[in-house]
Amino acid sequence: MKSWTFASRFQLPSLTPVLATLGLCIVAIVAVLAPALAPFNPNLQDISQRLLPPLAPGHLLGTDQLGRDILSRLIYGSRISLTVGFVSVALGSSIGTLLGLCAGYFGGLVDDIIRWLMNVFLAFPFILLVITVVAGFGSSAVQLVVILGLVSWTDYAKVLRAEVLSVRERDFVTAARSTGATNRVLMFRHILPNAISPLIVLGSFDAARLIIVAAALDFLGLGVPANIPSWGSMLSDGRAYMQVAWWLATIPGIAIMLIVICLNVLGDWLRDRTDPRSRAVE
Amino acid sequence: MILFLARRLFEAIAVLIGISLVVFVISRLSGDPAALMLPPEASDEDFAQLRHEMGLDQSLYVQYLTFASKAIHGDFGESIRNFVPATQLVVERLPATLLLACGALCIALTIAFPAGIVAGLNRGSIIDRTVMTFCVIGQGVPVFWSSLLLILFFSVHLHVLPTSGYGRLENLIMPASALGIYTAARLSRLVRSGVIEVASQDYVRAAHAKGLAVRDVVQNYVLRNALLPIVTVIGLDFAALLGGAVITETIFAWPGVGRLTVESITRRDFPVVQASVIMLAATYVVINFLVDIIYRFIDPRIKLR
Repeated sequence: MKSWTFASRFQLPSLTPVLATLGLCIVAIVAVLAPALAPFNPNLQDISQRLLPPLAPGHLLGTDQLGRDILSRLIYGSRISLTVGFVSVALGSSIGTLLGLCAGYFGGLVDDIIRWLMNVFLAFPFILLVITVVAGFGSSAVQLVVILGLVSWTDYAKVLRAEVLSVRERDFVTAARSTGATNRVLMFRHILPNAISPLIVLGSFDAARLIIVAAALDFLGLGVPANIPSWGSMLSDGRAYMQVAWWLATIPGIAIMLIVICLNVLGDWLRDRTDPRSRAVE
Repeated sequence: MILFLARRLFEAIAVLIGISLVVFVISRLSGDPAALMLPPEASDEDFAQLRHEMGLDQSLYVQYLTFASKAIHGDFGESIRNFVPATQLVVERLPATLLLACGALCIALTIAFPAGIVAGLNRGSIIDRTVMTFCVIGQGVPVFWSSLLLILFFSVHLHVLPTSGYGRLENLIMPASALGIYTAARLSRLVRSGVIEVASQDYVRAAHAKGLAVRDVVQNYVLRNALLPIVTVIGLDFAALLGGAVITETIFAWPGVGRLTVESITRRDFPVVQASVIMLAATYVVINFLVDIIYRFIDPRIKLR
């Protein structure tokens, strides 16, 4: 039995969440300012300059098999990853919130139907479900972002439903109800604000998951169209040149890994902050 | 008990029906299957005839019932490319997917249990910190990238493992590791939190207080109780590995169901896509159902609802 010590409170030094937030802010700034920051047009081909290794003159991270500047493609590629991370998560969490709130609040048949839907969507291997839908409906960048949002609502609904089940029994809800508050007011003004904090944590982890899935789709050639630079398609290009140019596949992978780690670290930290019980355990 | 089983069985069947509905809706919304099968120069009569043969001229409701009743018998139609029953194609690929999932799970368990237990028992120590850092990194590395790195290192540079292929143990090592490392990172964290949670329970304190050796307490009190809930997670992780190996299978040219699905999607061979997606989802439902029941048998504290 170990005593509770100050050191054991933190699984990682407390500097890490700060670094993670900083990292995400930098990526966001880079994505927004991409045209100003990128030294080259990301699709500009120059066969005479192909497969230059990193630190080559003029090309800090080298060039790919078509002579395109990797740094510029990396900078532009952050745009699609961030869009997926924010827009798809916003969409998925909104749907999940609405359904989870209804399931937990109304109970009964509504709950049964929503739980059934949830179990159905959870049964599909997530990446296969996304691939199937994307293959069926095509994948412009907009479609991809919407599809990822539409199929990723289940975890939000599941967590919120459980939370609502406990919050709706609390005294302040009963008090509000006794003053004649309508269902809508009870659900959105009294229950939702008190049940939503686990979703923020989930959103952070989910953004990481969706960024990986989007990159995986690009990697398989089923993601955004080829004229939009993305980290997944850069990886997939690099795969064919692994024997001669290791940096093609390595650099975009590091970018994906860093953004995913930042999001996961942030999620861990948020969970520790919002759920004291998990802090005792984690 | 009977009531519990009946309820779970009913839920599982409801979910299976839902799965078939989702796949059916996706397949109908995404375009006319007849248009995919005929050459572009086919006449309108050919088109109408094929639609009639395929039952596409009937109401959606009838179409779904036909689809579902065939699906129950494992009949998803013939592959548009190979003219072999789609189910047969999927079943042929199942052993490879199972082998890969088992290999990955073995690697994950071999890493996760020792790492999670040691970290949990020595919370806050340098070992704990190291394990947790590796977990954060392990969960952050996308499997398709770690696969490429493994190939780059072991095949391109060291020439010790084949880049792809199937049939020998060397072929299994890299894909199973790429998948296993990610699962190991997730599982170690769960094992660790389980151990920490149980170690602070009153009955563990009581065991320490009555003077049992630390070793006995850890073995008989902490681990037995901490690892019980992990059983559920392992079951679900296994199911996730079965369906989640799409990318790994593609990279290592592993002849599993995931790769078959991706190939079929690029060839627009929808009967095969439907068969594999439905069969993988159904496997998940069955494993989930079994895990649920097993768990309730091995942990008598869980109330039967």
